[in-house]
Amino acid sequence: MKKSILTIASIAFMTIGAKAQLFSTSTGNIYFFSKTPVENIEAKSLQTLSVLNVATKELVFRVTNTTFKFPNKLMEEHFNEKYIESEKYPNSTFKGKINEDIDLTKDGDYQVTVSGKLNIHGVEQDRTIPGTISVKDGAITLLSEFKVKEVDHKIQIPKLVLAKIAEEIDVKVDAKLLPKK
Amino acid sequence: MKQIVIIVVAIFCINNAWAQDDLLNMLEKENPLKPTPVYATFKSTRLVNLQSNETMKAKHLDFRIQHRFSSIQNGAYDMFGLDGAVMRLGFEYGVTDRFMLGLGRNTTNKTYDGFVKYQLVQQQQNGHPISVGLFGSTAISTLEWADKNRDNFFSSRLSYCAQVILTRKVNDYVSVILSPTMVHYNLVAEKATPNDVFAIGIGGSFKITRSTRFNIEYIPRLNGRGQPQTASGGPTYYDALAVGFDIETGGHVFQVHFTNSNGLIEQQFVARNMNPIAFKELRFGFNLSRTFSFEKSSGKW
Repeated sequence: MKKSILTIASIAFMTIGAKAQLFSTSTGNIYFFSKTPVENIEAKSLQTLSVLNVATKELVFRVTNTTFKFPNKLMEEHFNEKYIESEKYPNSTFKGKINEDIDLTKDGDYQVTVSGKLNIHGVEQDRTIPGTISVKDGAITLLSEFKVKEVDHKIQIPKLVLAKIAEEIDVKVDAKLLPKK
Repeated sequence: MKQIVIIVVAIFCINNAWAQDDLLNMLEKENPLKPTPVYATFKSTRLVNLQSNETMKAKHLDFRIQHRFSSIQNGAYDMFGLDGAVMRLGFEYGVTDRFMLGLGRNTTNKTYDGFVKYQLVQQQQNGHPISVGLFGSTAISTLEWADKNRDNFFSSRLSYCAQVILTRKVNDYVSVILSPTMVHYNLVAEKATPNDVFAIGIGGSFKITRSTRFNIEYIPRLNGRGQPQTASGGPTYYDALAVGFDIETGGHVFQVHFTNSNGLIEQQFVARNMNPIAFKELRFGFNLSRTFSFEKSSGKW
């Protein structure tokens, strides 16, 4: 009996403790790039939301698709209207957990992999994504580069522009998280 | 007892898992995004002949070639009208994301045209229900004077158009347009011919696939319609009707259509359309648009 009360109490504390160990940002950066011999396409969003729980090592990202800006506005329109369909699927998200046993309360650079679910265009994929975590001066910087295949997320590319859009899109994530008050 | 512990632990775990979603929602509320204008109400800056609410975005140039052929009534003899073409070449540029300038040259009456278009109000997702655009243009006919011995004034070459463009993207598949229009000619044939022509542009655009649309537009004149414009039974002007398709391939938009007018600017297809709405007056036409962006890349790659 005592033991279980202790367990409950300790879990309760952990939960409270965990809340105190949340790092977040609403200005994370996501860049993506499609390279083909015909045409290069690039876009960036500087309004990515991210939360990292240092205690449980859970990590989430959410980006509103309409915040992606393209140097070519026609591409931006096509991205929203024809490919990502941002009226139907306003957000892209990633929810995962850091696999490595690291202490994120200590300063340092950590090579990690994060396993979780990547949801783009309403289609969820299990992914393990590599990245770097830098802890310094009370801030946590997340860096990652990975690839996304349109096919995996049921994004269809019309035959007419098949040569212009890469099968795999390079994605770069760069976010600086600060303690959440 | 054990079960209770497990349940409690489970509740805490769920709580924990939700906390991050909650936090994301909280972050989203703390940093609300500006309402975004709806995109792609129409595929192009024109529906067929009518101006749409779309403007070229900042630092984007549209090179535009527009053709209207002659009517199909002579059949194969002149290749269903392909032998007789009028055309307009245009350069149209976005100064800001909502303000554009255009310059063009029309074969009809050797006319140069210049226009401005401004998106006064943009329809938004969860915001303004409609878009309001303003359009103004001046056209200069450079035909040689019919009578060189007469006193000829430069102002006689000019004609103008002013238009309010009301549009709404009803849903992903349907967009509609309503454009009160006024055209003014400085010089008209006779006193009986009105200098000012009023009309209302009505149109719709319907998505067929992600890259193709069906468009229809009708521009009824409110004055001087279907009547000879001079006492001596001069030309009669009619409403312009058009149906067409948009076909989009990356940076190009092809618009192919059938219409009873062969004008390419408002001064012509609203106010000087001499072809009644009839099957034999049908003519084929196309607009070809190619967009170039002068925006620099972010240099992150």
